[in-house]
Amino acid sequence: MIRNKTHIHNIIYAIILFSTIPGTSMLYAQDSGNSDLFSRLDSICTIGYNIESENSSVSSVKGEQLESHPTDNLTNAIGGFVTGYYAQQMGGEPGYDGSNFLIRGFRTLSTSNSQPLVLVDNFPADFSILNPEEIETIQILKDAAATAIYGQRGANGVILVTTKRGRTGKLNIKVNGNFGLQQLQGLPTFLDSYEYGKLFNEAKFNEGATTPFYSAEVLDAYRNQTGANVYLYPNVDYIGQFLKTVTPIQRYTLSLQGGNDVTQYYAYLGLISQDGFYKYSVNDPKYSTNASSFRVNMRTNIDVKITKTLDLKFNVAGQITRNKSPYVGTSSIWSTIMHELPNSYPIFTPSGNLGGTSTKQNNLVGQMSRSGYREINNRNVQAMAEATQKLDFITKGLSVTLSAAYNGYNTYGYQKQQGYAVYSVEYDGIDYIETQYGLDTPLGEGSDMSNDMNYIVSGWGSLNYNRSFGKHAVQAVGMVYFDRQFIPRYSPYSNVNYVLSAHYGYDNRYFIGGNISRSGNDNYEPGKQFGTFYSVSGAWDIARESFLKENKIVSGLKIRASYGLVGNNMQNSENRRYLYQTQYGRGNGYTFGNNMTNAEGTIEIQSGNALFTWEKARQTNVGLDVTTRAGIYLNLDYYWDHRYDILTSPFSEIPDIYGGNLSLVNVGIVDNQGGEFVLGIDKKIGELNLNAEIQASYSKNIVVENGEVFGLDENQKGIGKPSYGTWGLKCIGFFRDEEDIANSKPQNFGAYAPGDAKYEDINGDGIVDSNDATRLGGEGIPSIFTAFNLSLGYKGFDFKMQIVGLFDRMVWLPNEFGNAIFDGGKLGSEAYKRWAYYTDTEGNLIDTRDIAEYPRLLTEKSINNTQNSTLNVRDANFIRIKTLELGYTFRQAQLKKVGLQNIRVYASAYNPFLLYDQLGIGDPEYPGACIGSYGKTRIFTVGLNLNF
Amino acid sequence: MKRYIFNIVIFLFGVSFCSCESMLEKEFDDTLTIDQVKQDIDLMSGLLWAAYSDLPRNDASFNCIGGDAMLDCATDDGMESSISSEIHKMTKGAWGPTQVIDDQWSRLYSGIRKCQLFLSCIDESPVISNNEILDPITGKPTENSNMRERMKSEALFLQAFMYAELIKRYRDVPFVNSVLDPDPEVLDMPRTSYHVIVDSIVSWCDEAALHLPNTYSSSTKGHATRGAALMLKSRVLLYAASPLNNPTNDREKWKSAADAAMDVITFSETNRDVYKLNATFANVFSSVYDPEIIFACQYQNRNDVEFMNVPNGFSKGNGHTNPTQDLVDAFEVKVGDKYVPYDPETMNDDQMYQNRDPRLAATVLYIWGVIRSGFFGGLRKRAKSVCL
Repeated sequence: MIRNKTHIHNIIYAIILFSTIPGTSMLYAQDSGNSDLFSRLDSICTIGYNIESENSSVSSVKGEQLESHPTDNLTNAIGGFVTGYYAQQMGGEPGYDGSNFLIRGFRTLSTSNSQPLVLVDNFPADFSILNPEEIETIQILKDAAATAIYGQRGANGVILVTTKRGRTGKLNIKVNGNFGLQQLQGLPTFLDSYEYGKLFNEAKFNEGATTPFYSAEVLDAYRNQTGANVYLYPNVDYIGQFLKTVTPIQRYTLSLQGGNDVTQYYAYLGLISQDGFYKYSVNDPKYSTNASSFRVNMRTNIDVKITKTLDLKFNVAGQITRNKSPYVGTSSIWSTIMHELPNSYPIFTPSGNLGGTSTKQNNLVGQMSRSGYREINNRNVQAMAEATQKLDFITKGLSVTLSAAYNGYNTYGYQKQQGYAVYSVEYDGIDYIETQYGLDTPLGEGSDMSNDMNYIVSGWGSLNYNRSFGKHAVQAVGMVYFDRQFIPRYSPYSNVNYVLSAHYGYDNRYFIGGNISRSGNDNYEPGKQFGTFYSVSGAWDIARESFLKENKIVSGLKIRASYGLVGNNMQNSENRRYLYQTQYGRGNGYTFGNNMTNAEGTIEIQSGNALFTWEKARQTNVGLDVTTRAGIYLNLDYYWDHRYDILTSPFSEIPDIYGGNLSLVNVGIVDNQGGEFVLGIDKKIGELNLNAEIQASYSKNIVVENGEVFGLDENQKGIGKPSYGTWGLKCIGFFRDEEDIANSKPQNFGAYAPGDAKYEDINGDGIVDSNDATRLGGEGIPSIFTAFNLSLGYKGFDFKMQIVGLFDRMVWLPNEFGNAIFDGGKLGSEAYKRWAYYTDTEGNLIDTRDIAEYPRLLTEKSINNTQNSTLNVRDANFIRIKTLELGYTFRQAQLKKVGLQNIRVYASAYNPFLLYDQLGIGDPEYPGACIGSYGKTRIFTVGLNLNF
Repeated sequence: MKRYIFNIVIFLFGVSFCSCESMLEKEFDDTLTIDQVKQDIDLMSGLLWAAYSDLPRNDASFNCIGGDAMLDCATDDGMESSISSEIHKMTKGAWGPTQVIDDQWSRLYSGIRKCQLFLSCIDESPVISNNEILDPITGKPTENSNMRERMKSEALFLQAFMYAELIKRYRDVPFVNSVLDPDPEVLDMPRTSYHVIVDSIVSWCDEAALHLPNTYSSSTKGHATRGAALMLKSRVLLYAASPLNNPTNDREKWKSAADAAMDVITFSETNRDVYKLNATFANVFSSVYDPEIIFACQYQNRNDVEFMNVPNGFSKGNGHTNPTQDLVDAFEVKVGDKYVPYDPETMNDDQMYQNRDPRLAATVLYIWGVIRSGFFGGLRKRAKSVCL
C-alpha cells in the first residue's frame, strides 16, 4: 500500500518537476517509440510563468524539429508542425522575408488587432530573429484555459518560446554548417518584344486602329536581334538579364551545452548570410550594392544553484543584423523589372554606356550598381534573470519566484547616393548618335535613414504552491506582472497583470483548474484601465479508470473542456491610443494674401469616446487526446470564439451632420468557430523508426455587427460574411457580340464593347454598377490549413518530409502576370488567355471567345475591365512540399578518437515544388510578392552536423 | 530566519503591488486638448482657418468635377473629351440620389462644425483681444482692430456661406447650431425649412457686416469682408425670391432681394469703388483679385487647371474641357462698324474668326489662335493642329 503511494507520489513529483522544463514529453510519451520528433498536443505543460495546465489546448514544436529550416526567420518555420498557426510568407528579401501569422485564423474585424502575443522566456520579445538551434520549444497557446492568464492580451492566442538551457553532464558541442542555393519562383513569364508587339497591335486594332502600330519590319527586327537591331529595336529580357538564377545562403552555428550539479550552461553562436539576386552589383570591398543580409546570434543561458533552495537563471542574448540594398530600394528595382517594356531602350549602347531615354532613366544596371547603396544595422539585446527560492520551511511545496528582463531593439541606417547617366540611341544611316540624359556623379557623402530604438522592461513575481497529498495534486499560483515599452516620441505602453491560478488533479484521472486575471493597460481612461478575465477548465483521462486501465490498446484517452473570457487590446497602430480623449492637432490650413501664404489650421483630429475599452472574447474549447500502446495518437479540438466590443467605425449610428471625425467605438461582434485535428503514428518497426502525422486546422468566422450603415443590399453588407477579404464584382464572362450586349443588363463603368468583361447584377436592380460589389474571399487566408509530416529513420539514414495544403482561399493575382499595358506595363504569358476574335495579318483566325479568362486587350485603361472583380481575385488552393530532407549519420568508432560522437551529412529542399496548384501561375501563397517587392524563393541546401 | 525571509517576501510583493498601479499612468501627454488650444493664439486662430478650408470645392482639381471636367462640360457650352469622366453622369442624365455630382454635404457640415467650435471657444480665449487699433495716418480702425469681433464675424460669414450652399442644393436641411455630441438621439434631427434657414443666414450676414473690414491688405486678402457679407445676403435673398423657392411670387421677397443688392452697390460706391468691372475682359481670368471679385476661395499655386484642360500637344495638357460650336457661334461678328449675330450658315469660311467679338479670343482657342503670347507652338516644334 505504502509502496503504491510512494510510487504515485514519485510520478506526481515527476510531473511537477518536469513541467517546469517546458517541452519535456509527459507520461504518455514513454509508451511510444521515437517520440521526440513531432509536435503533439502536449496538454500537460506550462502555459507560462511556470504555471501548468493539464486542460488546455496547446500545440508545440521542439527546436530540433526546426533546425533544418533554411530561412533566417522563424515565423516561416513553425507552420506545418503546430496546429492552429497560420503563416503567410510575403517575400524573399534578405532580412525581410518573414511571415504574417495568426493563431486560429482571423477572428476579429481588422488586421491591426489580430496579432498574437509573443513571449520569449516569459517576456514580450520578437522571436522571428532567433535561430532554431537556440530554441527548446515553441508552444502555441490556443484556448482560454491557457490564455486567460494573459488578461487583455490573450484573446488572439499566445506564442511561448523557450530557449535552451544547460544540463548536468559532460560538455556537448554541436557545430552545424550549411550552404544553400536560393532560386526565385513564382515570377511572371514576360513576352519578348516580338510577341509583345504583335499583341500590342491587336490591342490597337481593338481600339479602332487601321494600320498596325508595330509594322511587320519592326516586328521582324525584334525577332532578329543582330547588328543594329539590338540597339534600335531592343528586346530586353528583364528577368533573365538582371536576376541571378541562384544565389547563396549559408549558416554556421556553434552550441555548447553542459554543466554540473551547481551550474548548467548553454552557449550559442550563429551566423547567417544571405545574398540577393541582383546580377549587376558593385562588389567593391568598401561597398556592395547587391541585396544581402548578415546576422549574428549570440546567447548564454546559465542556471546556478546558489543554495540548496535558491535557484538562479539568467539569459543574455543578442542579435546583430546588417541588411544592404541598392540606394534606389527594392520596390524601385522590382517595379522596373516587372513593368519596363522589353523594347523601350537597350540596356547598353553601342559605346558601352547605359541605355535609356529622356523619360525613362531607370536603367537597371544603373539602379542596381550605380545609384549608391543603403545599409541598415540592427543591434538587439535581451537580458533576463529569474530567481526561485523554495520556501519549504514555511510549508512544503511553497516557493517564490522573481524575474526581470530587458529587451532592447536598435536600428540605424544610412545611405549614399550617386547618379548615372543614360544615353538614347539613334541611327542616321552611318553612325549611332547617343544623347545623354542625366549625369554620372560619384558617390555622395551619405545621409542618415531611419534611426530608431525601443526597449521593453518587464518583470514578474509569483508565489507558487505545488504539492501532492496521496492521490491529490494541487498547484496554486499568485502572480504579479508588469511591462513597459518605451518608444521614442511616444508615451510608453504599459501593462499590469495580477493573476491567480489554481489546478487540482486527482489520481491523474480528474483534473480541474481555474485562472483569474485582473489586467490593465495604459491605453484606457484612468479608472477604467483594469478588466477581469477568467477561465475554468477540466479534463478526464478515461484511460486511467479502472475499467480501461489494463486495456491493451489505449494508454491515454483524455477529454477536456475549457471556457473563459479573455481580452484583446493588441494593436499595432499608434493612432488608436487614448481614444477616450478628444484630440486636437494641426491640419486643414488655408492660404491668405496675394502671395498665397499658408495659414495653419487647428482641427479636432478625433472626438473622444468615453466608453473606449478593449475587445473581449468568450472562448469555449473541447478536446480529445488519445494515445495508444501501438504508437498511434489522435488529438481533436473544437472551439467557439465569440468576440464582442470590437473597435470599429460606427457608420451605422452617426450621420454626416455630426461634421467631425468619429472616434472608433466598441460595437463590433464576430462569431468564430473551428477546430484542429492531428492523427499520427510513432513507431519502431524493426530497424525502421517511423513517425507520420497528418494535421488539419479549420477556422471560420462570421461578422455579426461591424458598425456599417443600414439599408445596404444583401451583397454589400459586411454582416453575415467573413470579416476578411476584398470587395469586388463577379465577372460572369465576356460580351460575345453586340447582340449579347443588347441582351445583357447595362453596365455603368464606362464604355464597353464585345470582348469586355460582363459582371453580375447581384443586387438585381437591373444595372451593373458599384452597388453590385460583394465580399470576395480573403487575402490568402485559408479556412483549412493541413499538413503532413513524415519522418523515417533507418540504420543511420534519416528522411523527413513536410507537405502543407491550404484550402478555401483567394488571392489577388496582379495584372503583371497578364495584361498590364493599360497601366504602362508590359505583357505576361497570361495575356494569351485574353478574349480575341479576329483574323491576323497572316490570315490565321484567332478565336479565344470560349476559353478566355481575361477581357480583350486595350492600350487605354478601360474602367469597365479594371474594376475589382473575380478577374483578379482568384481561388488559390494549393498543396506544396514545404520540406524534404535526407541525411546520413556516421557513428563509426574512429570518430571517438577525435572526440566526435557522430557526424551527420544532409541535403534538404525548402518549397521545392507544388503538388497541386489551382491558381496555375505565380506563387499561390502570395503571387504579388515579386510585384513591387522581392519575390519568393525555394532553397536547396547541403549541410554538416558535428556532434562532439 | 524563517520569519525574516517570509517578511521580505511579503514586503517585496507588497511593494510590487502598489508600484504597479502607477505604472499605468501616462508618462507624458502629447495630445493637444481644447484648453491648450485656447491659450495659444496660433492654435486658436487655426480653428478659424480650418473652417475656411471647408469652403466647398473639389480638392482633386480646382473647380472641376471628378478631378477633370469643368462644369461647363455639363452645359451646351462645353464638352468633356474623356468618356470615363464623372461629368457624363450629368450629360447622360444618370445624375440622381445614388449618383451624386459635386457632393459637398459632409464637407459643408464639417465646416459648420468648425465654425461652431470656434464660436464656442473664442469668448473663453484670452489670447485674442478686442482692442481697437487705429491706423496712425488716417485715424481709422485697421483690419486687425477689434480682432475678436472681426474673427467672430468671419466665422458667422463662413457659416452663413455654408448653409447657403446647403440650401441651394438640398432646400430643407438639418439646422446645426452648436457643436454636436456623437449621440444618435441628438443627431436624429429633422430638416428645418428653407426659409427659416434663409432668415438665419440674413441675420448672420447683417451681424457680420457690422464688424468686418471693407478691405484687407495684400498679405491678408482672402478673409471675409463687409462687402462679402452683404453680397451673400443679397444672393441668398435672390434665390429665396426665385420661383423655385417662392412659388406664390411674394413680392416682399423680391423687394428684400433688391434692397440687399442695392446695399452692395451703395457699399461699393461709398468706399472708393471697391468693386467695379475690369477694363480688360481677358484680365478677369489672369489677374489675382481683379476688382470684379467680391469673395474668392484661395489656393496655393497650382497648375492642375492648365494640366487638365490645355489641349493635347501643349506640354502635357490633357484637353478635358473643350468648347462646342454653339458657344463659338454665340459670339457676334463685326460687319461694317456694327456687331451682328454670327450666322453659321453663311459665315462659315476661312475668315470666320476675323472681326469677332474680342471676348471670343479670350474664351476659346481656335486654329491659329495664340495660347501664350511671345512664341507660337512650343520650343522647337510647330504646334500640331489644334482641333476645336
